[in-house]
Amino acid sequence: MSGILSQLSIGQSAIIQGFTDEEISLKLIELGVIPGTTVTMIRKAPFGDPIAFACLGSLISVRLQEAATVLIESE
Amino acid sequence: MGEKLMHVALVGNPNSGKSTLFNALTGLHQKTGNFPGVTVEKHSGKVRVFNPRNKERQTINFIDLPGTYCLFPKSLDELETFKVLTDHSSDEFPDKVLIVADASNLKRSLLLCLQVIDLGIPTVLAVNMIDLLERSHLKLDTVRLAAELGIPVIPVNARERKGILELKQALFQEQVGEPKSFDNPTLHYPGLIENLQKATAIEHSYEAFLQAANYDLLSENSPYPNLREIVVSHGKSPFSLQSEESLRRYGMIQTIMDNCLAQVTLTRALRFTLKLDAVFTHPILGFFIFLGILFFVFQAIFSWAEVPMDLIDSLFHNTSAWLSKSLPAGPLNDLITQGIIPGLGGIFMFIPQIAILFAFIGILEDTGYMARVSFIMDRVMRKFGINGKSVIPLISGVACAVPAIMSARTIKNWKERLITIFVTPLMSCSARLPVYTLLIAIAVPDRQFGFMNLKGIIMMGLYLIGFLAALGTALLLKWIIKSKERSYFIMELPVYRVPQWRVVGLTMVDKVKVFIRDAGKVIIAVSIVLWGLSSYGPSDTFETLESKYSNTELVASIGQEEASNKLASEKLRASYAGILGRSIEPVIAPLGFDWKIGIALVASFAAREVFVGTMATIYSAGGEDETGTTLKARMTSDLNDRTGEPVFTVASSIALILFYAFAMQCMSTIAVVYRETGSWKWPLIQFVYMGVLAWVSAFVAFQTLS
Repeated sequence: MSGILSQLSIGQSAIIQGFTDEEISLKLIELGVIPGTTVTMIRKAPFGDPIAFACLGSLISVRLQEAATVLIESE
Repeated sequence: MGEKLMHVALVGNPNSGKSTLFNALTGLHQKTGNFPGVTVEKHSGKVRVFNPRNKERQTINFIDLPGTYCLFPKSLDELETFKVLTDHSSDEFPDKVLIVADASNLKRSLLLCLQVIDLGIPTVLAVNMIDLLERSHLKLDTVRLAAELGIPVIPVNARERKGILELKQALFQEQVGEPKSFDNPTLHYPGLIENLQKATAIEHSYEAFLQAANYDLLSENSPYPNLREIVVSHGKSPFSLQSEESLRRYGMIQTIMDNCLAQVTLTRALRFTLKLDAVFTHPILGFFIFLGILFFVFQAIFSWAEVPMDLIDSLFHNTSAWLSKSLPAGPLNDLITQGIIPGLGGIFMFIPQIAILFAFIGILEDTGYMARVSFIMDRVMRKFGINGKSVIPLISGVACAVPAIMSARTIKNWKERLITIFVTPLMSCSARLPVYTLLIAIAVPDRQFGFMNLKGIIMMGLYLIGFLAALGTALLLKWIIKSKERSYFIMELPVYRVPQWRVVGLTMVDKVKVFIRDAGKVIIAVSIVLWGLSSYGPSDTFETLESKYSNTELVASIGQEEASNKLASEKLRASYAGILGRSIEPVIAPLGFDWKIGIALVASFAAREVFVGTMATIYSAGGEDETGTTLKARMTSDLNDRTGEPVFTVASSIALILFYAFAMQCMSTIAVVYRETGSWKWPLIQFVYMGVLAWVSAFVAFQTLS
């Protein structure tokens, strides 16, 4: 099922498909968040924003609006 | 001799242990910590290393560059790394680059590594914390990796200082065969690269490519014509050049990793981190833990520091009393025993508090907790026009605004960064502590509420006031400053780890040293000037007073002691300092301050902590004292010679505390804001804004309380 990273619920994993925002994608790509990698939603901050997901063995935090620009394919 | 100095630049991802490795390599002490980007300045250290190739010792100059994920800088400190690696004209242009990679995040480190290799600078890769990888049952084949990359690869553990010697030796290895090239931009963009090479006169194709891909950030001081236009004319944009290159490289890295390492899943450290995060970033519990930690820190500062503070205070007091008797009487004796020693005592007394504060900040940073604070606070901070990352400058501002303002560099959005810089000096810094402590001692009674002391509660309240003023000001600026730049919060949450006690200890010692050195210099200078101004007056005013009080009838009528006190206080009033203080009295009288406080305020504009020393100078210059009355007692018994009321009432003390809470009385902060914002506009606005805020709040407090 395809969707966006911000919709992923805690504990769910998905594979990155692409990005809809070039500027945000650059920042994520350098952290290793690239199409084809598996990400797992780990945690949400108080008030549900920002969120933290695991990718390549590290924890990365983004805001919901940034996560909404990441296209995913969930298993 | 003709020995050549070898420059080695340390480059690596933030949190890869780069600063720790730098310490291990150089033996120099510098701060290491967690996210976001503690290493904002360039640190370097020279060491002599035995070169096994020619059996001689050679000097290596290690340069620690700000952490970065790739050669496409996004922030100012990352830009510094890019500049060092591409500025061939620099004297310190690296002969070798030492890439520091975190073994559990190797993929990401390799992106940077491949880019640096393609720059053509000889490179050595240090894989840090490889033992952690082995604990999670993964084995990295470093020999294979070295073959794949075409560079020496050395496993190290920077914290335990393992592999350091091998690493130093590897720096002397010569490149074997042709250096590898991984991503040749000429293959992907033939026409574009040719045009860029012509426009920039850079022969190296990858370097020409980087100048264009980073043109948006470099454009302000780029010596080249508009490279963006060239890129666009080929149907590309700097952004697309960056993302296309990164994706191509990650493709290669995947192949390399498949050959050298089994797929990394969650490492043990990360699993542990996730468990801790369930508590520390819990929606409700997380906030309470944060508040609890802050509360504990403040209580610790006041209760643990009390005994050593009293010891230091009495030590200086006794030294000064002893010196004043043993040195021959005269102006020099007065300067030393009434100016310099009490002034320095006022500073040394605060060492215990500052040491405790910095120890806590160091521990919180080094464990990885500070990044969690950013994470849980981002949503709240955003409402005030700042960023979760602004919490770190704000909290550091409790120690000192100068390093705090510098740490705001990790905030990429200009508006958020500017607001953070603007409001950070409102946080109660350690220089305000001496002032608060003295004035609270005067204005607040000693009362105990359970395990808390009323003075401690008021002190916490002052920290809260500073924080609220910072937030309120941020909100105001959020409406005023217009910006189209987008705001981000994309950052790594590092794994939790046990703090490195040695590093925490060194940081603490270092900060205390800086405080004493910087504050000490100002204090001595201000003490001398003040002592001069308060000991001398225009023309013959002092002689007139002397002769007035040498009249035996007058002395007989009011008593010997009273006469000498009166003489001293009239002398101070007539001195240059008195004239200065009285000239600003009309402005500060509505706040309940007299001309003596006026003198202290003028002196404090250099630095707040001068206040205590100035008070010591003024009040001992105001009357010889054989009974050893403390400064606090002298201040409370002083009467305002205009109204006849006590100078330090509860109302005027509170007004004075508020004045110090808000006014920008720190030359170092003004200087650092100028440096960080690049113009006098912001420090000036900040100075005026904080001054007005200070005056108005002191006025309101005094008028309502008195």
